[in-house]
Amino acid sequence: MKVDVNKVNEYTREFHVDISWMELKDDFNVSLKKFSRKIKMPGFRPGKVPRERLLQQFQPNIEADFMEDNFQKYYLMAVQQEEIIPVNKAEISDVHFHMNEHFSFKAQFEIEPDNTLPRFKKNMLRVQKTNYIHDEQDIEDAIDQLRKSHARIQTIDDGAREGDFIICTLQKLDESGLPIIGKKYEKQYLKVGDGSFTDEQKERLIGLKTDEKTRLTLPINKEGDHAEYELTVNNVEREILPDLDDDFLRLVNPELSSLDALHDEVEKKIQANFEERSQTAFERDLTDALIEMSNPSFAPSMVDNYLDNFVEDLKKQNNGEPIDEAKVREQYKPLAERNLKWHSLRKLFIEQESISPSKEDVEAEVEKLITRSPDSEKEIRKYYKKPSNRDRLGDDIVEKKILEYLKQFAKVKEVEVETKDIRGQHHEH
Amino acid sequence: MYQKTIIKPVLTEKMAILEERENKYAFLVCPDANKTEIKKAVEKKFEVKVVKVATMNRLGKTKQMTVRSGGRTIRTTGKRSNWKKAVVTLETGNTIDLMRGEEAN
Repeated sequence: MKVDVNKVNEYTREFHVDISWMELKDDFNVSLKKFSRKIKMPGFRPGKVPRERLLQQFQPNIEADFMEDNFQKYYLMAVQQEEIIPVNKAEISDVHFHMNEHFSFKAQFEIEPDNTLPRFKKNMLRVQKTNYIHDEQDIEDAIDQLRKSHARIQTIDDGAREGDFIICTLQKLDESGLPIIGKKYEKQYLKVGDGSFTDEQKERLIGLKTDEKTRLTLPINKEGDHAEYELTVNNVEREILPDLDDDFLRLVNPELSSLDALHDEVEKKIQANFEERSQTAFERDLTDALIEMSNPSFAPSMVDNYLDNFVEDLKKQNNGEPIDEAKVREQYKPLAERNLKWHSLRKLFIEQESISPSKEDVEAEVEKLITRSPDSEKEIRKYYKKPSNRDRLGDDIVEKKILEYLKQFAKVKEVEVETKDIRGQHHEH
Repeated sequence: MYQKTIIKPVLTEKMAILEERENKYAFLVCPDANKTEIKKAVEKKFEVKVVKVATMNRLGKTKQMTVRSGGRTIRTTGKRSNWKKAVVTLETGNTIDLMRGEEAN
């Protein structure tokens, strides 16, 4: 097999493959035999038609079958021979093949381009690190959240208030106020003052008791259409938050001795969360700085493949519900490009700096996870017995090692941010 | 003349073996044709030298069939034509390309 490789651009290669008849002969005979078995000719049993007779009558068909069966094989052989890894499906052209002649074709495909790491110097990566300064409000919010998570539900009969839950039956009414058959929704759970039950609707719900009725105008679609419903209350429930007392402390953590201890524990957790958030952002900034500095290139088809997989995953998560594919692709294209660039640099790091996770590293990481959640030791050990999960853990270790390495060359500017300035903001990790 | 004598070649697995091993070719021929006529016809048509001609007369089978006649379905008997087969042995070195077909006159 003769393969000429033509470099079209940084990431596109073109193969000119030429295979002699001697190399093809055996495969061609296999195809011919296979073809003869599926041909029905009067006077002959399947597979018993003489070769010459078959070739005289069906040579073009046999040649087509041969190409179909073997094309992929020869393409892969050419790729292996040249030790090139294509990242997309090759475009095939100029295919030439006839019996007793050479088989030649052209294949154009994309590969992962050759990138190089920059020469690392001290302070070459300028990165910002945000230190969050929390305040008393954060702790109070967290304790409130804790109280909510331990709240109990109580049925009440003194009328609904804002924040109460009403379990009810909703009956859709037509324009004349008559119930529509088949549009009765039982055991509906709604919160007074939440979602569609604000303003005027909320006023109608306040004070309602079991078995009482009221009428509501509720939105029925995103276009802003409304419909009239009759609401019959089945039950009214109220969320009762636990008092901040010793019982509550026992509920949260039996080891806590006082409210101050709870305060301290919550504060520690908040601090740890913000530190983690700060560290994640810092590491992302660090990688971004390196990406910006080295700007590795990538084949366009790699972005397409990335987005294809992303869209597939999204479809699975949406349980088959339709998604605006074009919009998703457009929205996530920058992320795909960024991740591909990082992937390329990461690969270079692993090759050049020989970074790899040792068995001991993986074991140590597993132990670390167990120390963090000792109750789940059995599950964690079982999970990381599977090689694919261990590999994933190994990838994380490699990533950590790379980040540690990069930190040596970073000039870090520390910025302090008070949590009151960002409270309520949606943040992305 | 040979168009009337030779009707069509017999292409079967058995004849393919005989062609390969014994240089024998089989034809469906006119039932009236004799061995001499068949020999001449083959030699003229394919430009080969015939060594031997073996002929065999085959009787057409009688077949039962159901047909509709005047709105009624009736069973009737039919007969397939009698036919004659000739197996021609060629001189060594002569061959016939039976798949090439015949040019229209």
